[in-house]
Amino acid sequence: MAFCAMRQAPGGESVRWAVPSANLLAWQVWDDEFLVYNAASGQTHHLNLLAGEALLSLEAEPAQTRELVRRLANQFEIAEDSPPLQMIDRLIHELDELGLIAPSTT
Amino acid sequence: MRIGELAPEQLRQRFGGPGVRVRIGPFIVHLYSAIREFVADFSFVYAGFPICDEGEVSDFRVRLAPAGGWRLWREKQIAFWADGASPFAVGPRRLAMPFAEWGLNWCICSYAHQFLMFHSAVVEKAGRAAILAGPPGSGKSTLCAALLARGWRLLSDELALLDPVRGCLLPIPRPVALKGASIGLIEELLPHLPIGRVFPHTDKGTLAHLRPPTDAVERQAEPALPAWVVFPTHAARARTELVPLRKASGFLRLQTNCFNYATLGLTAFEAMGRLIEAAECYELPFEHLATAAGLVNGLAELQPALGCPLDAA
Repeated sequence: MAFCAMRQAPGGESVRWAVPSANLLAWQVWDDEFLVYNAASGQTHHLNLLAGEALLSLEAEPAQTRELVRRLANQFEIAEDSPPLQMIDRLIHELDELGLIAPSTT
Repeated sequence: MRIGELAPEQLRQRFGGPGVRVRIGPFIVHLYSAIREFVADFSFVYAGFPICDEGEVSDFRVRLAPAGGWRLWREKQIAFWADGASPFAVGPRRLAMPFAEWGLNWCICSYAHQFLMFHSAVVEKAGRAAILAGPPGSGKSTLCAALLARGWRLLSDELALLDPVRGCLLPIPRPVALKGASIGLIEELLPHLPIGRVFPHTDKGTLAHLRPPTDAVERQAEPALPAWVVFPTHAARARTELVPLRKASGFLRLQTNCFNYATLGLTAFEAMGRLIEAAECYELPFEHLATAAGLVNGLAELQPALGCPLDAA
């Protein structure tokens, strides 16, 4: 996937993704709809179920892509290669583009 | 004492001299003007509003004063002053009343950030409020008037004020600005409410102000809890129906009607979240006003009055 190649640590390992400490996120969750407010940007984002749970997971603890897939697969009780999780690179790219996550520096 | 209790000469003396402190919803507006037509127009539509004691601190000090400028050769001009600054270009003196109303809108939207403010009408029945949100031309004012005719209380025709801490909507039952064809329509719907002078040729077309209902003014210190957020859209041949909106969609639609969401930031996000959590959200495309008002009225009929146990409904 093109997006995978965009953020690679030296040596080819995937970066660990995290919610930057400057991003104070506030949440409104209604069933499968998530609204998240990023105090650093002042922006409000509307996320679907997968994006919302992925961001909540990274907010709780940074993770490499593979680890995030594992967590979400467990949470939703689906296979790690199931169609929604095949989109994870694209999702991470979008969250990165929105400034909601960034490569972890710790 | 209320504005309507002063004789015309007393009004002119007070407005032209020390000014008059008027309680308008949660605000005290200290208003000065020696312009006779304006004093008459203002006093007519604000007749029921209370005058505050001189010792009370005002939120806004507003003056309408004659102005000079090159336009004087065409017609007399006025300037709007708020707390010593004149934020707008001068306007024609014949439009002093609408000019003052626009200026007061500007004062509130510029300074009253203790509230989350939405471009919305708000009406209440049995302790529950419906926010009618939408841009100009969406039909919210006429829908608001139709609901008043069905016994709803007016909290505001134009501006919803949400207390972000308490989560309640504060009334600001200023005169309803009627435009164009809606003047005649609302005269029919609310024949008992007087309409002030008609102002043709404003930037917004023909304009008039409806005096707010007496009970709305008398109860202007009585807030209400939000129960419904309705987005009316008037359109010819629209199928008139209440379409439920999901919470997140309702939030985002309402956000577009919020004047100070960016200013209040996290406070706004959290306050709106609580509002949407507590309220049901609907789109309301409509062609027929009576049908639309009946649908909104039905929402209140379906739910018990606030504070009543469910089995008492």
